[in-house]
Amino acid sequence: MINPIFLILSSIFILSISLFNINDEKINYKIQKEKFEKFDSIALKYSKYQINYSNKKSIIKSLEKIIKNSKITNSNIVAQKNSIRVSLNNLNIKQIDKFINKLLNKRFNIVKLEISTNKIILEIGII
Amino acid sequence: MMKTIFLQKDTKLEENITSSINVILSPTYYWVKEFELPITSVKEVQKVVPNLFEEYFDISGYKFYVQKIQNTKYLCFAYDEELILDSLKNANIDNKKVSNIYFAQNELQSFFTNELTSPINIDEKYFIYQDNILINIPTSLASNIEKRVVTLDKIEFSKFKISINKSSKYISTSSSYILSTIFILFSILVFIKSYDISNASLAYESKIQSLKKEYKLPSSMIQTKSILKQYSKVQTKYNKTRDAFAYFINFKSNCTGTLKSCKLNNGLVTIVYLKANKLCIKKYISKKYKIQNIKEKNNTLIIEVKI
Repeated sequence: MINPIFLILSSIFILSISLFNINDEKINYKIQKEKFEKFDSIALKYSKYQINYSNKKSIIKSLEKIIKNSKITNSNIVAQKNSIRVSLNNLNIKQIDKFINKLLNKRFNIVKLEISTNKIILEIGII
Repeated sequence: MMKTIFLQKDTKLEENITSSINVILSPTYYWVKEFELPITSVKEVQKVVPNLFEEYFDISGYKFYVQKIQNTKYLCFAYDEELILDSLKNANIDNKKVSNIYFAQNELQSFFTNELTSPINIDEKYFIYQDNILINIPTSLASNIEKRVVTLDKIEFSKFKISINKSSKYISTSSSYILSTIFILFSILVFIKSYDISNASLAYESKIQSLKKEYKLPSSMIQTKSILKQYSKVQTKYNKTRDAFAYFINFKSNCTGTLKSCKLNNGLVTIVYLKANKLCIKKYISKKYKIQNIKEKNNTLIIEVKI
């Protein structure tokens, strides 16, 4: 016959193991969750940066949109290996003002920017 | 061979017991009665036997044992476990050394046959069967009749034995089983939940892998962090450029003149103002930036600022 005290102590021991185990799993879950959340925010940040500074197509699209919204008709966008060159000619003050405003409110890696009374030359670096 | 002790109220061993023993309970430790019941299962009789004894004595604290004699005839025992444990203690018997406990009712039967009916003498006590029930007869009654001294060590024990809770008087065996079952069931539930949590943890790892694919991240975290650092530098540079341009363009809030051109090349900004007050512009720009070079020619002010 099994000793009742031994039986109870054994079951308490098993219960303790299960409780320790669940505690461990909870800690591990918390670590994994935090790791995922951190990774998620890094991935989002990376993706945003990539769209802003590395994705040529997306940068050109944004520039075209700004040019169009600034009602500039004489524009030339040239994509090079590591940069995008934009030259805007025959501009009036209002167009320059609007373009610069919109340009500075977007995120670009501006390497070169020349603003004169009727012309803008812009170079955006690609990372 | 295992030693046998016949447990009576006055049993007291002189030496400590070192090996396992069998104990035969004298009739003083149990109530026994034969019942004829319309039940064929011993288990069923177990359930009703307390009620059967209830009319003879107060059954609180008693345990019961049933053995089948014939189809519907049962020999039922009632015994007080606490009393047996106390007697073992008083007799200087360590209950952990007790291997099996038997009732004298069953075990002494072999000493009596149709020819041998005289009382037997065990430790100065006399026993005889009357109506198939073993009874202890007073010494005064036994003095005039033939009696036999028997040795218990040669007894062939029956299969009818009881077990007593040797470990604790605080918890019964059945309670310990119930409690243990509850603990084990709870442990199983906890283990299932742990497994669930473990799966959820593993799911995060696969989510991370799918995020890597979705955002086309570099294979290692070190690479990703390095690229992010680079991006972050560009971001800081962009912020500086934006703030600087906004500042140079908005000079009119402080000074007069016209902005002719503004050039940024490798972190160097060249600003050309027309008809501007040199001192005022210099003061305005110096508030936030360090002027590298300043020239004035024919109403044209050229300023170079490193940002």
